[in-house]
Amino acid sequence: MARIRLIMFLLAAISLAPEWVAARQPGYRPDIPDTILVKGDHYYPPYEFINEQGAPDGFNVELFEALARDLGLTYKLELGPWSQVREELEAGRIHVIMGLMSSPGRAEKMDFGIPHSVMTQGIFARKGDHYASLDDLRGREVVVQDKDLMHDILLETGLAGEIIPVTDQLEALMLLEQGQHDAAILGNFQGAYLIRRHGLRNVVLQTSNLEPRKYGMAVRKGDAELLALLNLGIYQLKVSGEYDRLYTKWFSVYEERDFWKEYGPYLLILGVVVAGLALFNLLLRRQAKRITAKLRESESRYSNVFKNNHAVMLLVDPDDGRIVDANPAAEKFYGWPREELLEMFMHQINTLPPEAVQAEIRKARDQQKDRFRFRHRLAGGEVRDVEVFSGRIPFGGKALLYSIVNDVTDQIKAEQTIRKRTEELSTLLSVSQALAVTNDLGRVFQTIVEQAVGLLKLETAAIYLLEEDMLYLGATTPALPPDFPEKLRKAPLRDHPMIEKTLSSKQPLRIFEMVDEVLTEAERQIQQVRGIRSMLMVPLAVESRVAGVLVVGTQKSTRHFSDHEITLYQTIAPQAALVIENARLYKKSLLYASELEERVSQRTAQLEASNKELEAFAYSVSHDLRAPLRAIDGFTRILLEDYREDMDQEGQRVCRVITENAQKMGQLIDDLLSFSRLGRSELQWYEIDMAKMAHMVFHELSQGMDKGRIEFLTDPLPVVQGDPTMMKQVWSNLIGNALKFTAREAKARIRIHAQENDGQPVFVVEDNGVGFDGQYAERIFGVFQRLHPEREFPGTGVGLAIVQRIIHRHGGAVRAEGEPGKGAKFFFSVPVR
Amino acid sequence: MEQFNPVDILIVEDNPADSELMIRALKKDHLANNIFLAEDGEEALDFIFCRGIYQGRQMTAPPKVVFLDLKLPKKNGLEVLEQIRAQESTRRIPVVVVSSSREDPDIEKAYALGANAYVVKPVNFDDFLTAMRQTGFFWMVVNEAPSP
Repeated sequence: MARIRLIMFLLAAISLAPEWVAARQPGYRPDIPDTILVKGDHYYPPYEFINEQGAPDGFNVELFEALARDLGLTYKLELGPWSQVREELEAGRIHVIMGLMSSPGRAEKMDFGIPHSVMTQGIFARKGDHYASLDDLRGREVVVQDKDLMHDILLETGLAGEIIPVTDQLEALMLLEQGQHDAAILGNFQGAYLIRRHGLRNVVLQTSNLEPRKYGMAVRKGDAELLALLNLGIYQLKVSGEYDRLYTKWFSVYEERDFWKEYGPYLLILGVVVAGLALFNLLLRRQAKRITAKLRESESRYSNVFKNNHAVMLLVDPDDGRIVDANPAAEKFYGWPREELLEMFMHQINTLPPEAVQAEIRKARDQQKDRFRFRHRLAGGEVRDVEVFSGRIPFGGKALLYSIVNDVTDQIKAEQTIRKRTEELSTLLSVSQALAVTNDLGRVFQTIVEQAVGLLKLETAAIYLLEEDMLYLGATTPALPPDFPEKLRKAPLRDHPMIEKTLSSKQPLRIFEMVDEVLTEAERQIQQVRGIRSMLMVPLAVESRVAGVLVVGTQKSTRHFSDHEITLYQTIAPQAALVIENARLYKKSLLYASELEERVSQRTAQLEASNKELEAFAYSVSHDLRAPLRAIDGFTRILLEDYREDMDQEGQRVCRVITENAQKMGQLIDDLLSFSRLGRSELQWYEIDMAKMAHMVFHELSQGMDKGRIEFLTDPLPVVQGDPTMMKQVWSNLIGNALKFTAREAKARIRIHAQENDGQPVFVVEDNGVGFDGQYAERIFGVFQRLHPEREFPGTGVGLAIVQRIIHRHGGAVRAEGEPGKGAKFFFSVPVR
Repeated sequence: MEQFNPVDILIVEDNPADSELMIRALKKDHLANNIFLAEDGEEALDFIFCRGIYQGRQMTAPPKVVFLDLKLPKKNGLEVLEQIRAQESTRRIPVVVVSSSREDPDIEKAYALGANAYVVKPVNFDDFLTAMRQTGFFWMVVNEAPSP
């Protein structure tokens, strides 16, 4: 009975289909060619290429061969230059191109089959370079295959600095290998294949999976019948596992990714569509073979598609929603025998109200919509989620609807589980985020309890903290009543054996019904106030350090906490414990910090006071020490001037020694004072032209000297940031020294230049004077440190100490080099600010 | 210049060595015949305002210039300066502040209170002489007191 109905259905379809198709596709020739001409690129490995034996090889080739074998097609497969192959298809000289990325532009010239791969692009470049995205190619020289998809994209975006189109992908890689250009964008797999195949050493795949595009077969524009046949073939290969085998064979080397895992659901839906198309095809094919000897064979093949198809198929009258036919898969799925199904209407199966079902049917009939999500009722009363693909089909003079029904209940369930897990994960994430940003203990606790309740939609939660042997209530949700007894907020650990047990075992504790438990007085009170029924207690611990426990519970009903749910809370626990610990430490550190601050301000005040004392001391030193010196000097001079006649030569000499020494001591005091002032006064930062400053200082100091004897050379010097008054003092002391210690040279030479050390300018003052013993090079910067007898070179020994102090205050360093009789070199750096 | 009048100079200085050297320097150049020395701030004020032991002195002949040491017993130099500047009758008397150090923070304060100049007492007697002569000469001879 069933068979007769099916054959009638097929025959009717065969007789009607051509008119319907012809009406939509003028000039359409319904025949499938006896020999299908198939072509592909002769060099597009690993998809299609001529192998070493000179035969076509590759994924596409094997896929097509398998498909043709399956469908019993006669074909001729050839590979040739890509542009030529495309031309041939567009001109109608061949029937099929095996692999092509679909694009809207291309869709105008040919029809695409369901994609059999997803083709992605990758950036290839030399090792050591890094290109993570297309953006990184901005302004670079990028090699692409001429007229390839990426060629178009680069032209559109104008991203690359220069586009270098080459005829094939190997050429692109070879150019890179030889050090030319910056990068190439090529197919992921092709590039990787070619690098392996040709043993390229310099070029690597830097970034993969760019610009994913569907990649599949294409036929001549309007060749819908052939296309449907090919689609059916692909679908069958996927179902039989042959597709997977070929995919693994050709691509697993380059990619670990499981194609089916990633694109499986997508292809499954496509599969359903394909099955739908196959149904069309069934009708069309039948007609094409009408007068051939193959008729019978075809009939059985296509009736098999309907009958033996795993997909649930229904034929529906769009006017009233009556079921016109159903395949065995439908019988099995719905649980009604076919005879019964044919008495039924769609609204008896569909859970929507009848008028809503009719409205949806009309949409399918009017071709407004072809994919639906419904809930279908089974014979046993079970309701399943289904995805329905529905299309129009002419039948017995009127348009019927065929529906392919796919049970997606498990899929939806899986999706829901995933959604639930995702929600849980995002809760966990928000807990850790909330915890990460705050050090306010109260807020931390509150966040934890609120999220803990939210995680499983529970009713109550609390955190107990352990300090010594006491438990403190850290936070609760909902908030505690105002009259909540104080002794329950803070209690000895021994009053709470449940918490004690959780803490000591460091294991979660679950109680199904609190009222059934033997409780201590404190526990009983809390249970009553909070109305806790089921309870879960999780220790908050980091390593061996226990911070407290998290308690969650229900109030209205009991509830079993699953292992999975406990795991969720255990995931939060260490984080929470860590944050509690951090917050406590932070609080402590704040305390220390304020203590420290207080101490610092005390010390600062002390220092300021002693500094003031020191200043006062310095001033009084200068005042009080100088007064007697002034008297010594002044009165000795009076002796020399007014009583000269009463003194012999020796007496006068002695008087001069007295005044000289008095003056020297005055100078010492002055230098010492200015040295101490350097430590106090604030630096005024300006830009300083060092060359100009050195010249000026030299000019000032050399006044009255024999300029012809002194050669003063300055190289160009960098401009620095510094305190001009102080810096002038540096130059003055160094150039002054150089002049002083070259005073006895017949030809004095002073040279000033600059070097660079670690990016910092270092200035050098070099002279050809008496020099000094190199072993004292460090000591020379000490206060009152002199290396020459006073008689030869007068001085107080403070000048270089002042230089060092000023340079140190500028963040720089000083250094000296010297050799007796061979001059001295003084180095000082002034860091860039 | 055309009117060379030896006039009164008041030196306020507690260090006898310093005051002797100052007076000697001024006299040597014949800048002043009539130099008066006060050894503390109070005495200086008594002298200027003709009070205490100087009650009989004529207010109508104020000193032409005052060399005022800042560090003084009893009332210090700044207090003396402040009181001189506070009185209408004395506020135009030129006051040269004498300090033993350029570092002295009181020099700033003295300027703020209306000091006309300052001299640092150098250790070197020659320099001291030069400084005293220059300031003394300027205030005694070149700078004419504004008519009252």
